Amino acid sequence: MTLLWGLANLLFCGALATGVCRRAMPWRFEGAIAFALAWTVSFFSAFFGAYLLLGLIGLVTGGAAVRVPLAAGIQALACAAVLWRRRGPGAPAATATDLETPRGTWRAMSRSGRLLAGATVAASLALSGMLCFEFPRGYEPKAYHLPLAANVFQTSSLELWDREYMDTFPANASLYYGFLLAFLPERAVAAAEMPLLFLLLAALYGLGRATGADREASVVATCGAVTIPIVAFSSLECGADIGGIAFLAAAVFFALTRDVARNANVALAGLAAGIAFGFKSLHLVGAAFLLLAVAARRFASGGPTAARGRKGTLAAGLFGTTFLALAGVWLARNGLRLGNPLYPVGIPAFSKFLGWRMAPDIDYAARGTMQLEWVRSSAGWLVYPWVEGHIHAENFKHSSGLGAFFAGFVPPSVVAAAVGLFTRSPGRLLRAGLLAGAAVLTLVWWILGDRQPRYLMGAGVFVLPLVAWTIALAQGRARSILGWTACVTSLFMLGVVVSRQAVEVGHRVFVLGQWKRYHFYVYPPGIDRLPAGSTVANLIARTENWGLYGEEHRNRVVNSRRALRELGVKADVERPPYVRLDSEALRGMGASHLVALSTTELRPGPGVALVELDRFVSKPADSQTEVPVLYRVEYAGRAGACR
Amino acid sequence: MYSESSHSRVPSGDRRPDNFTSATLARVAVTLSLISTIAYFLSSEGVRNYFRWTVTVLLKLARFSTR
Repeated sequence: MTLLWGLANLLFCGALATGVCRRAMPWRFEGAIAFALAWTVSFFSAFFGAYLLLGLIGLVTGGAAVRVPLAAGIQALACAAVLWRRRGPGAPAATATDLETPRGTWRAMSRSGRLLAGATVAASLALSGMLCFEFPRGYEPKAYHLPLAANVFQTSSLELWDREYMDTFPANASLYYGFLLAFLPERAVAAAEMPLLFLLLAALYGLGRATGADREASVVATCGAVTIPIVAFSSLECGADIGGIAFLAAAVFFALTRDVARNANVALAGLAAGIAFGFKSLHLVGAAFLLLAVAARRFASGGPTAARGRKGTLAAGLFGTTFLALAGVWLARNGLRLGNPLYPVGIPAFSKFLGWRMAPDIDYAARGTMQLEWVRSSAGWLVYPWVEGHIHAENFKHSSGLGAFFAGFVPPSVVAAAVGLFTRSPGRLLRAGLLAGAAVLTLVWWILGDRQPRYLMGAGVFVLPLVAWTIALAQGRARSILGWTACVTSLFMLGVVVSRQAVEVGHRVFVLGQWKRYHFYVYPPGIDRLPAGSTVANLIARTENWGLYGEEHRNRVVNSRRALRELGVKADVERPPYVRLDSEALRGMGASHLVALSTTELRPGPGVALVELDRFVSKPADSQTEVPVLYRVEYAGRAGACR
Repeated sequence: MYSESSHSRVPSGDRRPDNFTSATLARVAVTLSLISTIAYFLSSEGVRNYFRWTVTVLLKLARFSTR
């Protein structure tokens, strides 16, 4: 039944997107890429819009409204409303570039371009295939994206799971994965970032073409983007980064390259920016920039000043309204429940002025030291693309490394584009907009102080299309040199990503024979056999949260941070040496079971007894000295209540 | 259908920045790109660590296959 409702969701979203695009974005006027992006943004707007509306109803009424059948009902109603209305007048004719289809692109490409494109497609397919041998992975996914996903659909609510700062971010990623987990095998969900990666690539290609670059240059820049380690490795995890930048790229496409006199383009830009915010609240900065850009473009469209001002204001209003339609629920939830719509994000002085609450579990003053993981001083960021340092030698992963293609092409393209602003060449305004967007995002990243390379991925969306433009500038031998340089650098980075993944999967599955879920997440197999509705307190670490939900995702889990804090363990301590088990604290969490490391000394207080049920047996045996152990909690006076 | 522009065949509908300024910019971009790429491969800790990791994996693989 769940499968049918899930399919109904997809069907109604697809029909709604098709109806909207046929009315507002006829592809024969706007081109295949614009149509594909408009369709995808409409599809996901319908998907997230329904769940967010239900979440809002739940937050206001306190009810459990976030249910797949109810979402399908809302989508069906919206679908009927769109299809019922007559088709409006056709859109204005577009330029020759907009009329193109991808047909003929492959044949027209040079040998280096074909090699790069072919290798990128092959690597993407191989990586997707390998992911299906695994389970969803990554620190953030295991710590909170996936636990939040399970929690939303277990409680049918967007209420906060708890108040740990990591669990209070906007959770579009969790809605997306939670929906897929409801009717797809967990192994298939491990590759769920891939469709979002394709959206990112389509948007980058479209942006490259809009700068005036030819097809091959746009394809090369797009394929090169895939090889950037923080993009490639992020796409192998069930995180929020790729979704965030994919929808930001779509928003940039509609806001900066399409005709903003057409309300459909402005609305699509706002919707895409709203979805991007729901994946990663950091994209609020990009959305604010795009709002101003849309207003400025509309203002510059000609006519009397008063009329231009009115048009600019209306365009900004439309962008803001559509943005809030999809981002507003997260802002409202955190504003009402936590006293800061952007919680836990905050700049101390600014938040104090606005009266916004700061997260007590974040040491804001120490955020500046986060960068020491990658650079020794702030000046180190100037050479980071070429040095790629990492304190633990983890230079290439979801949060580290920009790779050879980035180092070889992005800085030179930024220089070329900046110099190009002083020449009379077509598309200057767009390139200026892209450079300005990248500059604003970089500046805010610098000011906020939490300087991690992946928090700059939004700026990458603005600069990567400039690579296509730069490649397209070159002709003859220069073009050939650029083409082969792009090919070699990208193939090297693809080799890094594919080999790392192949060795990891091959070692785990084929050498160690670790095929089961409990091997992958390292937990006692008894977790998978607990009665439905059991509540497991995690006394190990945040990354164990997801595994403890069990194979069927039926268990409830008390986040390690909350469990340890309520049991008196100091904040930020994981894998504690000992824990005092207070009866009241455990009852408060509703814990029927708990999981702790075999090396953790558990000291039950009055009224609590523990019964060991199971422990993780490593494979090969004896390869691990400390293993997770599953206990049943027994409370005095309520014998059997929690069994 | 396609215009044969020196190196690659580009569909006639495609736009390209023209005039000699573009050619100068392109030369600057190619030079910077080559310098930047070479600098990357010479100075990247990531590349060095990757090659070290590759050697370790190959040695382990050789040991595993002769077991």
